[in-house]
This record gives sequence, structure tokens and C-alpha cells, in this order.
Amino acid sequence: VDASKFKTCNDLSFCRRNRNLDTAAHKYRVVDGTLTVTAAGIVQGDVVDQSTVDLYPEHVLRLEIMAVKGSNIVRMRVNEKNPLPNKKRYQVQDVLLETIEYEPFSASSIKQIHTDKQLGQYVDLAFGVNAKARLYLSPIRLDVFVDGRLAIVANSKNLFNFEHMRTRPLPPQPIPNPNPMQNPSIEGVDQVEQIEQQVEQPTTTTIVEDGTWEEKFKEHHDSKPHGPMSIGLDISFIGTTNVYGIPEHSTALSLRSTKGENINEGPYRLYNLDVFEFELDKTTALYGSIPFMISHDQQKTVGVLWLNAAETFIDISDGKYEDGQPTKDTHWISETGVMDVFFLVGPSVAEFYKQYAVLTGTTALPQLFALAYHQCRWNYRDEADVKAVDQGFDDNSIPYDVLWLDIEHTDGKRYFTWDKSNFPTPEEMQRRLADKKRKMVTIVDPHIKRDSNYYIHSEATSKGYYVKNKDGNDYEGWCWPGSSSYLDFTNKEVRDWWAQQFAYDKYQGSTNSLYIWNDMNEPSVFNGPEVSMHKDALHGGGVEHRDVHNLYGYYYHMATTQGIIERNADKNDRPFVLSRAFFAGTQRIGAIWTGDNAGQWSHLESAQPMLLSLAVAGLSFTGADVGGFFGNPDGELMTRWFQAGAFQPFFRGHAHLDAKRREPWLFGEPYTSAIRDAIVKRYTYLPLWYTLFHENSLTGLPVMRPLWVEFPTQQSLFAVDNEFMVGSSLLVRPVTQAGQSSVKVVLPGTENKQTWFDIDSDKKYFASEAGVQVDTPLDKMPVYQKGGSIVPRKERQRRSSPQMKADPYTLRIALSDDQKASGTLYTDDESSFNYQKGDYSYRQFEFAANQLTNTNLAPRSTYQPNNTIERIVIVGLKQKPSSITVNNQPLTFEYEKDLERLTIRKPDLQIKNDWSIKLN
Amino acid sequence: TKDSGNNNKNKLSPQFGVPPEKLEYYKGETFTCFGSGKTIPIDYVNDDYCDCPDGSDEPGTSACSNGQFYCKNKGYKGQLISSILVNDGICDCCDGSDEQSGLIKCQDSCAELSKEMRKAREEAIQKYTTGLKIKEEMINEAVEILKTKKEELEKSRKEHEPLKQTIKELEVAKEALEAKKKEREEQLEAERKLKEQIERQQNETEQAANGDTQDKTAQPEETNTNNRTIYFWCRWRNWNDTKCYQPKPKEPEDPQLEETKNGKIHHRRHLHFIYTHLIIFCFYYFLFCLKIVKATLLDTLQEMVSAAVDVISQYLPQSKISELSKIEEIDRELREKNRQLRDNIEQTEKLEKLLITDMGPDNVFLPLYGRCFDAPTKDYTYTMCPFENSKQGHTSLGRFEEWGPNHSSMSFTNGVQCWGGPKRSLKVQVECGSENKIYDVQEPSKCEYSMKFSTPALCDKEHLLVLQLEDDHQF
Repeated sequence: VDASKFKTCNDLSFCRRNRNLDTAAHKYRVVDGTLTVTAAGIVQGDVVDQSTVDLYPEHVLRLEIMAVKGSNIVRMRVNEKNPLPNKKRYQVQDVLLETIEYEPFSASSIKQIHTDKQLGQYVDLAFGVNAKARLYLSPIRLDVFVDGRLAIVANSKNLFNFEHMRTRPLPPQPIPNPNPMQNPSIEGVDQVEQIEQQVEQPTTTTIVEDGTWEEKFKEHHDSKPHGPMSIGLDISFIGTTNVYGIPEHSTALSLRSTKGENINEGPYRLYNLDVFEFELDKTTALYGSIPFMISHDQQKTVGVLWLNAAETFIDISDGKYEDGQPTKDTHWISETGVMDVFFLVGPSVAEFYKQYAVLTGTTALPQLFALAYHQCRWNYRDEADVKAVDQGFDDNSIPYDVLWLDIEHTDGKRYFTWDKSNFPTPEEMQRRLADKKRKMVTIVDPHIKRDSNYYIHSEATSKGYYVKNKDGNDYEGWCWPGSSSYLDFTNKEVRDWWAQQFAYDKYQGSTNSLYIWNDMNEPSVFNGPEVSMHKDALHGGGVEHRDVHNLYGYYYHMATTQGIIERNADKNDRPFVLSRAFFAGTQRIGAIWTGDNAGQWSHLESAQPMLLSLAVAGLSFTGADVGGFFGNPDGELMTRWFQAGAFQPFFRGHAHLDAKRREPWLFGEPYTSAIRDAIVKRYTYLPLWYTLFHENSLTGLPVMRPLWVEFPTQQSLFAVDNEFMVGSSLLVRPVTQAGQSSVKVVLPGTENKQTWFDIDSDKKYFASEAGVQVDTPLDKMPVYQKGGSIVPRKERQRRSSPQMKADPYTLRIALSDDQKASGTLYTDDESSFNYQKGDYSYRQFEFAANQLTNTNLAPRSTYQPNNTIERIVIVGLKQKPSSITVNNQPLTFEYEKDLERLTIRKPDLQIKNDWSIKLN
Repeated sequence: TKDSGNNNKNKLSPQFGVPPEKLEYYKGETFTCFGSGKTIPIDYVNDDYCDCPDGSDEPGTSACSNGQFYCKNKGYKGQLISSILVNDGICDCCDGSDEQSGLIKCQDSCAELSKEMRKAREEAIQKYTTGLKIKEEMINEAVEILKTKKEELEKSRKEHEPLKQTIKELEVAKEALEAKKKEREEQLEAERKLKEQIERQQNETEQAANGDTQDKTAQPEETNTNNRTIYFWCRWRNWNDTKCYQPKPKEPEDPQLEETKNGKIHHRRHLHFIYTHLIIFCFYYFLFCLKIVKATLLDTLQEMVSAAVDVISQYLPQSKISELSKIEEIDRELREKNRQLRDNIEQTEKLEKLLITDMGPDNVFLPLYGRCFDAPTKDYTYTMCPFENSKQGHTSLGRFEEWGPNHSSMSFTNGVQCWGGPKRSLKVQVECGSENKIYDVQEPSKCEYSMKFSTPALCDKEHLLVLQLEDDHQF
């Protein structure tokens, strides 16, 4: 990457001002007597900066505190009480669920004002279960407690900052002779009033500080017509040594400090950007932004959602609380927008993720095929190429579900069109794939070629749907098609129109087995500042691009997904749309991938922390391109990447235009066989993946999990990110170095003698904090099933996932040391929305007291799968049973003493029925 | 409560899905897995549960992913398919026998396939028959070519020694002349130095008088050098003077144009003229350098010296020319003989190399040597010259590197370096055809090309026999 192309905190005046804030010069406080509880039960008060209130008496802020109903979440919002008429601060929309309800505070809750010797007056606001927010009035400060423990503190460092919007100071000039009668327009009057104010007030030097009213970066100019309007706040997490989240960055899962001795890294930056050949272990911005940070320690999991879509920087440093507890001190700085902060205080991991789901929702249940293997390349050249690659998978007995076409399939990068010489019969091509139950994905990017003969462009132009530049004309930038414009997806009308473009009669050559890939939606503008859009570009309603930048890709993803649903008359086919840019809430829309990674070992290694960081911030349907986008990985790296990717949520091989061909069979033996094994393994675990995605909608828990999510009290695991869990049952340790013939695997659960079973050999291990050294020949990536879990698998290999639908299951039961285990299985029709009406099946398998039972977890559900169980494998079973019976009928079985493994042959029981099997 | 699921509604016979030659193993009371020797009751065969690690107990179901299913395909030909494809809702056998579980109803398409196969086979037989006829011709041709080439080699080898002898003699004669010339040159050099000394003294006095004249006089001299360089090169290329370089007489300009565009245009045109020639010169100089690599260094030096002499002679008084022209004449002859020698060596090596190149059985590929095949596509014409090189338009896709196994492919490597990619390369799939032609050019990865080459040379009799036999045995 050419780092000089991208801004640092120092290149941005708002970041400089906040990061170097003179804390002694500001004191924000709640104005005496203004604290009230509104009719809606919101605690409300006026806030002013004590040190400038005399100078700017009109700079009054409105503080609101709200408690989310049924959750340990408290929301603190600060906005301008008297906004300027021509510009309102942007409040992020369409991200929070509409279902959020607030638990009103009672009027009496603020009656009792306490006094602390050092911190002065405060009120205690109880919310949720055993949670409490303590609001100090002067200076303003919010302490959030859970179970009597202090968890999060805001503004204890006095970094609260709110640059009230103001009118641009004019250069000294003679006092105008205002005559309101001649300027009847409201704007005119205000203008004059403002001028009068300016003239009356002694101008201070702070207003004309460098970069406040315009700013330059390289050849790009930012006109900043509204001047400085940043917000800043310090937030400390008490009792913790690890914070996570705020993706997307290429650093470790446990976030690094950005302030302190010998630290040269700038603050974490959230600003969606298309970064060419991004570097690893950097706090610099990448393709997406989720302003959500999680803190975990042995007692609690808590977090903060900073709901702001403008450019944001976050500093992190280690500290000590006054009582000696360790803290993670963070400082949040955004360029514009409302200060809108949600404090989530768990305290358990499970409660915490339920809380985050209450705010932003859970993962849209993907169709089963979307969880299978995807084959992509920039670009499969033509229909013959597509046919040959498809056949290549069959000839080599490698399953795959989806074949992807990148930008070259279009007619000159005009999306929704086909390059007719290479793709003359796109419908037939899709039908040929569909005959094998396979799908196709084509790319549709948000930049629209400025070509008057292109129907999308001419319609968008005539309807005025493009984002405008600061002068009010259609914004133009350079992207793949050359000169391009960008639709204003923040506008619902534009999104609806865009969605219509996916109708089968509009998108010629598309069929119902075609799904969509949204790339470049940061948005990427080749000749724009930092390869993106000018911040002074204008969206509808006078909203500047700077206000909504991090939401642009989210809205685009949303509009495309809407189109994929609405193209079918019955709207009953679940959409699949992959996006590169994202925001909080993207999980409700579709999948994302980590962008243009490189075919290098270091990037394979970094995929784990990057995906885990996304996972903890609510995005579960994520993946890194297998093989790496750039370069030419060799057979070994490809094999290792396939092995890792097979246990990560979104599993797609992809390659750059300049890269050599790398379809799985091209590497020869032993690589092809090892890659085949990895992909086949993925397919056998599809029932587990599908169940986990369903359970995400119940619990909000990430599908791919850091170890601490499953073992929340084992301190030594809190920073581990080279191992991860798939759900609660599989522990995965990718091999990420060349020639690595053995790796050390930390096996969690030392406190309770946790057992682990190698999924390939069924060999038993006990928890080991120091780790066990295991051999990793090319065909081996260590994966362990947790003792105490039951995992349903489909062990029959097929060409693609839909052909597995009727196949029977194998239950793999890994027993805990006390001979117990449990697991679940979710099934439905694998493609439609009928599950939302209850047409699904959700079963629980439980092994205890030598008995395996199958019970219904959703008695009102209606789906009746006909699948049977063909095999039950129990590992870690210490004693051979004398007989095994179901309804007093004997079952055939085999017991291997050395492996403590029992295999029940063909019980042929239906998964839809309740039953129990007895080991006698 | 014990519902047996959809794969197993009707109990399958143990022989279902077994190829004819293995049927006998599936007829006893027990079955022994092929791979492991594990023995199971015959009831366990085709019971939709995988007992044998090699999958041999489930020939008719999908229970083992590593097994094989035999479709009888009545009216067509029997076929073994992977167990993966059994009962997966997609018809793979033309008789539909792979989908007995009833996920899908398959149409029997065996008759149709059989018709297609027959047609394809007839075409193949036609292709092979024609191909083999031409192949015969190619083999005969190869005998002739081989004979000719051997003779050429013989002849070439014979010419080698006499050429070397002549060159040696010429060199001796030249040495003698040069010695004479050197003597004279020393004399001239002494005269020149004296003259220079006088001139320098004169210059010093002039310089004292006018400081900046030197700068101005330097300019034309430079142009002159330029001209001379071009001239030198022209002579060397044996171009005729007018075509090559002659300071152009000022063209009669349109007076109006002259007025509006003034002197700048003229200057630019002049520069343009020089630059154009310089560029051409550089190009040919590059070719020349390439030649150097091939030619012996001595040879080249001689060429250069003699060319230089040609130039210098223009500036020498007439009296000295006769002596120089004698040397020049010998040089020319030497150059000619050296060239012949070089050609001779090249020719010998080429023939030797050709004669050891793998030309297939009976040297059947030999007639393709020296021939090139074109395949025009939308953007380029691709050319492939067997045993030599390959091109996309004018861009080299590589030189012939080697045969693949059984002459089934040819690889060409080390083509022009790709921007942001590897050196271009080409893989040619060779197959039997009724004529020699290339087709189906592809670029599967950036700058890695592939094409197909059909040639009678790869047709073989046995295959034709098999085809005809199969045709006779038609169901």
C-alpha cells in the first residue's frame, strides 16, 4: 500500500483538535435545574461548556439518557439544543432495529440527588437487571455499573468535546446596514443575525484555526461549508486488559494500544476505504466500519456502540482505575454527527450478545448453498470457461456450489449487462449450472458508467438520483468503467428504484439461480481523496457525504438485497449478496469478505484475527478469499488456506486477473487430494454451520468465536487469535506457516478437565493451557470436537449441497469426562422464508446416563424432514455396553476399546421423531 | 417408529449396480470387501450403510462416497459412475438407474445417446481414415526430407574446411597491407599533430578576443556528428543515399502557412526528421546488436572497421584512397567468407539439431518442420510453427521447448515478458485430425496460452481398429 495516499489523524484538523484537546480549558456540565424526565421517560438535561458559555450562550446541548427495555443497555445521546436552521446534525438511520423499546425512567428517579466528595452531585438511574447508570452533573460523567461492579465510565478524562455548529466568521468589514424588509427569506434573516452576532462578539483565534473551514489533502480540497462540528468522548472500561471489535482493521483480535510509550501507531480509524494491497497489523482504515467495542474480563463482558457514520478515530491505552483495577481507556472522535452512545453491560457473554442483537439484529439466515464452497476468479473468461471449470470440479470429485463472475462479464463495466461476445447465452449458462443445482453470482458495483446510451445512467440522470458535488451537479468520479456517477443510496426512493433493476425483465440474462456480489461500495472513486468520495459531496436533504460516508456501502448492500428478494413474485427466496463495505447491522443484510488480501502466508495468518474481530462486532457471515486475491500462492499455501477456509463462515476461492489459474485441481498431488479433503470436510459439517446460523438468530452469538466466548473465565485465552471455535463444539487451529510440520494447540478448559477429540483420528486429549504439540503433515489441520458436544454431520459426498438434502445424518458424540454430551440440529427447506412462519425443525440431542435422546426444541414448528440417522459415533465412552436398544429393539454396534469409540450401525431413526437409545 | 427413510423403501438386490465382470462376488451368503478382506453378511450389501472402507459393499447406493455404480444403459453402453452421483436427484445414467430412490424421474435417453454415439463414431472413423491416409503420405514425405536433410548436412560439413582455409589466406594478405597502412598513418599522425599545435595557438588568441564564440561553433558540429552517425549507419545498411539520408533541400512551403506558423514549424520538422531517423537507427542498432551476439566478435569488428573505413575515406584526400580500397576489398571478401562460414556453422548445427529432434515414430512429424499454422481470432492472429516458435500477432509466445508424453502436447516457453505477469508461454494439445490445423486458442491464465493442433500425424491405426470393432459390435 502507498501509505502516503491515506490520511492520518494528523492530516485531519478535527482529529488533531480532539486528540490534543486542552482538557483544562473545557468543562461540560449539566445546567442546574434542567435535569428532567420527559413524558416518554427519557432523562433529559441541558449541557454547556462552562468555560465558553459566556462567549457562546447559544451553544447549549441537549443530553438524553434512555434505558433499552428488557436489556442491560443504556443510551446516552447528546445533540445541539438549538441547531442552525440550514444544517442539522446527522442522526444515523436504518441501523438500529425498529423493534427497540425503551423502559421509561420514572419521574422520581432523578429526585434524589447525591453528592460525592470529589465528583460532586449525581443521580443514580437503575435499568435492566442489576444495572445502574450514575450521572455526575458537573463535570458531566456517566458511570455504568452491573452487578454492583463499575464497568464503563464516560468522560472521567474530561475529553468530552462538542464543537457546536456555527456560521462562518467573516473577515472584518464595515457593519452592514441590515434591512430585514428587503430580505424576507428566513435564510436571509438568519444570515444577518449571524453576522450581527459575529460582529458583536469579540472574535477568538480558535475559530480560524487551520483546517476548520476548509482543508486540503494532496490535490484534493474539502470545502467544509459547515466548519468544525466534531465530537469526542473518553470511555474507560474498568477491570479489563482486553478490548475487541471496531472492525475493520488488520490488527490482532485483542486490540493494541495506540497511546503510550514507544507506540508509533496512530489511533484506530473507521473510514470505509478501498485500500490497494493493504498491510497487516495496522490501525489504518479498511473497507468497512463497525463502531462497536467489546471489553471482556473474568467477571463480565461489556461494550459500547458509538452510533456514528462519519469518519471516526479511536485511541486505546492501558490505565489503572483509582482502586487499582486495570482499565482500557479509549477516546472516540468523530468528524460530525450526533453523539449517540449505547452502553451494553452484559454481564455474561450470552447476555451481552443478546443485548447487541436487540440493537442491531442478528444474521439473516443464509440459504444453505451460501455456506458451501464458492469458486471465483477475476475473471472466468467466457461460457466455455465456465463450463470447463464446472466440469473440472466434477471430474476431480470436488464439491462446489457457486460459480462467480467478476467485472469482465459485463459489457464495458455497465452492470446488469453482458459482454455478448463472451457470454452470448447467459440464461443457458445459468441453467446448465442449475441442472446440477449450482448457482451463479455476478458482480454489480455502485459506480454507474456515464454513458447516455446506458439505460441505468440515463434513468438515474433524469430522475436526479445521483449524489451531487458541492456545486449541486451530478458527482463524477473515475472507476472501472471510466467516468462514473454514484447513486444516492441513502435515499429510500433511490434504493427502491435500484431494487427494481434486479427484476428478471430488467436485468436481462438473469435467472432465479443468479445471486449478486457488491464490490467497490466504500465507495471506491479512483481519482477521489483517498480513493473515495469527496466529503463535501451532497446527498439528499442537505446531508453531506462526510455525515454518511461509513453508511454508503451499507445502504447499497441493503438496496441490492431488497432487489434480490423482490425479483420473485412470491418474495420467498432468501437473498445472497456479498458486500465489501459494511456497517453495524450489515449482518441483517448479507455476507461480507475481507477484501483484497494477498496470496501470502502472513495474510492467511491474519485472516483469523480479522474474521474474529468482525464476529465479535456482530458480523458472522464473513470470510477471507481463499488463496489470497493478489499473487501466486503455491500448492502448500493453497492447501493450508483451503483447510482454514473450510472452517470459516464464508468459504470462497478467488484470484486476481494477473494471477495464475488456481482451481483446486491445478496443483497436482499431494495438494489436490488435500484440498479435496478440506472441501469435502466442509460439506460434512454443513448441518452444524446451518444450525449455528439459526442459533445466531436466537442468541446473537458469533458463529466463528474467539476462545474467550466459550471459556470466559480462563484469562490466558483472552488474547488467543490463532485458534478459534466454530460454535461451541469445534476448536480449529489453522496451520499458517510454510513447512510447519507440527503446531502447538492450546486446549481450553483446564478448570473442569475438558476433553477434546481430534476429528480425524478421534484421539482424546485433555485441556492443556501450555498446549499440546501435534503433527501437521500437509493433509492435516488440527480440529477438535469439544467433549460434551454432539455434532450432526452428513458424511455422504455430493457434487453440491442441494443434493445432500435427503441424505441421512451421522451423529458424532464427543463425551465429557463425566460421560455427557448435547447438541442441536436445525433444518428447514434450506432456501425459502417459510421458516419465519414456523416451517422448520429444531431438535436437541442429549446424552446422559447412558441414554441418547432426541427431543423437539420447537414444538410449534412444522417442518417434517424425512432424513434418518444412519450412524451414531460416540467417542470417549469408557465402557463397552452389553447391548443397545431403542424401544426394546436391539441395535447393531461396534466398540473399539483403544479409541473408546462406539459406532452404532444404521439405527435408521428419523430426526423428526422423539426417541431414546439406551446403552445397557 | 422405525421408518427406513427414502433410500431404502424397497430392498435392493445385492447385485444392483455391480458391473458384469464382478457379479459373481455378490452372489454368496456373505460378501468380502475387495480392499480389506472384511467379511459381512450378504444382507449388508446394498443396505445403504457403508461397511467396507473401499465402498465395495454398496454398489447400488450412495452410502459409500468412494464406491462405484454400474449403469447397464441398455441400448447404449454400460458405464461406471461414482457413488456420489447415486440418488442425488440428478440423472447421470442414460437409463436413469442411478436414481432408483425416486428423488427424480429420469427419462431413458440411451437410444438417443446411442444414435449420437454412432454418429460421432462414424465421424471419428472418417477422421481417422482420412488422417491415416495423410499420415502415410507424411511418413513418405519424411523419408524424402530426411534424405535431403542428411545430404544437406553432409554438404555443409564438407564446405567447412575450405572456407576456413580461404579466410586464413585472406587474413595473411590483409595483415601485410595493414602493416603498410600503419606506417603511412604514423606519418600522417605526426603531420596532424603539428597542424593541431599551430591551430591551438591561433585559437587561444581568438578566444581571448571573443569569449562565447566557442559555444556557438559547437552547435553545428554536433549536428554534423549526427548526420555522420546516420550516414555511417546508412552505409552499413547499404541503403542508397537519397532514401536513407540526405539533408533535404528546404521544401517550398505554402506561403500562407509559412506566415502563420513561422519558424517554429520548420525547426520542429527538422528535429522530427532527425528523431525519426534516430529512432529507426536505434531500432536497427538493436537488431545489429542481436546479430553481434550470434556472429563471432572478430567478424563483427571487421565489419565495423571496414564500415568505419568507408566513412573515413570520404574525408581523406584522394591519394590515400587507393591503398585503403585495397584493404577494403580484402575486408569485403573476408566479411563475405566469414559470413559464409557462419552460415555454414549455423546450417550444420541446425541440421544436426533437427536430426536429433524427436519427430515421432517414423519421423511422422518431420514434414511439419518449417511450416507455420495460423488461427485468426477476434483480436489477433495466432501462429504456431512446430519445433520452432509461436506468436500472437508479432508477439512471441515462446520457442519450442519439448513434447508432452506420447506426443500429446507441445510446449513453447520463454516468450515476451508480460506486464505484471510471467513470460508468455503456450501449451499445444495435439490430437488426431484429418488435416494439420490449429484452433481453439485460449488464455486460461494471464499470458499462459493454450491451443489445439489437429494433425494426421497423431492418428493411429489401432484406435481406428477399435472404433471399427466397436461399430461392428453395435448392440
